[in-house]
Amino acid sequence: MRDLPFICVGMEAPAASEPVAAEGSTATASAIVAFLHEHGLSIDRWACPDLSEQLRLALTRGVDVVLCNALDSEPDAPLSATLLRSCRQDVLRGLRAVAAAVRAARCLIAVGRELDPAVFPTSRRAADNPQVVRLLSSYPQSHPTLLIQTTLHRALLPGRLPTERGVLVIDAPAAFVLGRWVGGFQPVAVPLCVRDDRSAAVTLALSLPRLTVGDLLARLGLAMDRQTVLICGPKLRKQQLPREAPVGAVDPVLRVCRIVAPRASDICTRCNWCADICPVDLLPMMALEAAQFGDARAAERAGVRRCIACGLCDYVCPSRLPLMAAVQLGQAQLRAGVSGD
Amino acid sequence: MVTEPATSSSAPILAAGHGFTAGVRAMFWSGVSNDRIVIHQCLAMLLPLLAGLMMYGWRAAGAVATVVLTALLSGALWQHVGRRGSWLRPGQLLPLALPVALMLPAHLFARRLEMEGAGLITVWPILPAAGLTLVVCCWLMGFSHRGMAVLLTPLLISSLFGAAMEPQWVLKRSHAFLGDLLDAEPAPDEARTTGWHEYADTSDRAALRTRPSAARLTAFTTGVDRPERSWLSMEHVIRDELAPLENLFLAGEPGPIGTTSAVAVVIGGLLLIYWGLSDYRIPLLIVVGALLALLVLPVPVVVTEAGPQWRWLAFRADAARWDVAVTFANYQILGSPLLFVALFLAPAASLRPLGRSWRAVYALLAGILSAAAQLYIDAATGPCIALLLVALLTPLMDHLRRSRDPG
Repeated sequence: MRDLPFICVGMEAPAASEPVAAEGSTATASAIVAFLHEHGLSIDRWACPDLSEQLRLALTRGVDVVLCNALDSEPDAPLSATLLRSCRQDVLRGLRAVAAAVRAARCLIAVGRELDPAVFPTSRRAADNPQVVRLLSSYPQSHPTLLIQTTLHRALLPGRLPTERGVLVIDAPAAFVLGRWVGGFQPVAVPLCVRDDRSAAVTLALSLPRLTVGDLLARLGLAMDRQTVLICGPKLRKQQLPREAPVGAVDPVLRVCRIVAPRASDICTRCNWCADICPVDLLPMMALEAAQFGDARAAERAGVRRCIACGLCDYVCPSRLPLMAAVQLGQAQLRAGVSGD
Repeated sequence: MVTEPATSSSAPILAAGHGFTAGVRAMFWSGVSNDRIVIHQCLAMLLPLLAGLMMYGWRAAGAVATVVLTALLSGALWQHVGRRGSWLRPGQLLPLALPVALMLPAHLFARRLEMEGAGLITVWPILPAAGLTLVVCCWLMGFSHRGMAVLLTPLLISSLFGAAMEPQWVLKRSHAFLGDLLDAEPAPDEARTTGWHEYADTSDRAALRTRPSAARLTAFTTGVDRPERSWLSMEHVIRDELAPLENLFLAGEPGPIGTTSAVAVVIGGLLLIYWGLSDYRIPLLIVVGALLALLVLPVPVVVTEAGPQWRWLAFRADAARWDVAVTFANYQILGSPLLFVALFLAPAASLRPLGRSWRAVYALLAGILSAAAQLYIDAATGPCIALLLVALLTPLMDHLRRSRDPG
């Protein structure tokens, strides 16, 4: 892939795809699940909930829409936008293969408004397949709950699979991997975006799925020490990642950050900024209080079930309170209450 | 409605329990701390304060300092009284004490005062009483209702020391900032009709003594001022008895320290909005609601010896046309502390509802009630009374708030 802005790690540069016809392949859902399993591709992340499970459920329950989530959570890690610009045919082939496998009537691709309209012109006709939907790719719009709500007006509770609402959600990196496989390209390569926050350098890489994250970083020349931490996915989620994790089982957006000296939390001043910014209208400060007192009913009233764990509440809280952790604790309390019943 | 604040001690426990190291949590944070918010709030109030210092001189500075220092000292004592008092720290009290001080008149920074119709009054305890009342109200109402304490304090002080509270003094332009407010002479007719910045000073007195527009408006709308064997129209009051509108908009009107210069208040409020500390919809809807209510609600278009003649939709009455009705509404808005209340107090998180749509209801209600309170109770305290009443409904609005439930 010499003409693409990807550094190949642990493999020879694969050949670039040529444009292919829209009909794509005839891979079945079971074959796709087997392929994912065989290559250690565990695609269960922020922008794409458990793909294997979605495929299984799609066969039993049926879905009418396959939605490709090609929004980048953060503009400083433009993995999906790069894939759409450079490997559009692979992404489309993968998307069509999945749509054919689950026999979905419609195929949508959600792209950021900042993407050049020449690359992906907005669909005017409902018959377009895939139909392109241009959205403002502001965080946390790429979360499936918000994406499905915005594009299809279907309500999905966070943590549930989109197939419950008749939708299969796949992100652009996953569609790319499947598209390459369906097109017969070898070896299987996972696209990644590694951002080093210390130098603000962004590296786009193609890696073998079984390579560990530590090996990947070493081969990319990104040294880590005790003062740095590796997180994956949207940065506000602060999801830490062990270096032993295989590349095929993690979020394709990795971030090397320097740890900041912690500052003590202040008391909640009831500024309500957390509630104002929450994209799903829950009350994080009330969830914090519920977590403090172990009050599952108060956690329920605060709306913790709706939390998409975007971390915006933590980000804006002027008192630096651990609101997202409190919401997650409230969710755990609710789960424990339900299982206890 | 949440009742008690989260304690800082619980934060590390929660964080540790969920695999976030504190350092990782600290990495991604907006950087807007409570200290920064307090600094911005105080900076925004600096403009109304400066306008007050210009119009009321060193007594305004003394009045503000007395209220703030008393509040901070009282807070230092009261924060040791029970769990309720633990939050009464200087950083929390300063942004509460400052608006209270700005809503009080500067002439209270004196020992005794000769007030019209009330004789010689001892006024020096009023300012310390305001600071102390604020802290006691904060302690009683708790942290979540601290905004109520800010509204309640000037109302309590007004009701307790009513005779001494009417501001009647303003420095002449030639003595701005430095003059003694109480070194005053009665305002000549020329001073009433010309703008403060245009008035040519002929005596060596530092200030003018005149009746504030808020008091004149209240006297007219409540029918207190009844002419003998004659009649008093709305147009007559606006033309002959009220100060020029530019005095209310720019400067030059007797009044509370921080609420009299509309332009300073608006710029300060816009700064708060620019810094993201205030929701612009709330002040906007309050002013729009008040303006509409002032045009629609029954007002006395004419006061005769028999009493006021009330008319709904004053602009349709023969005695008051569109221009008179709109000017009257402008005087009501600029002559009262409505803009200050709308821009600095109403958007406070401890007063407004959580839901955006309910905030619109809250703001419109506050505007309409403020207009009614100004017309039928008192123009000087009407906005505070109205906001206090509407803020009492906030818990109900929060209860009725319906969330978007995705599933």
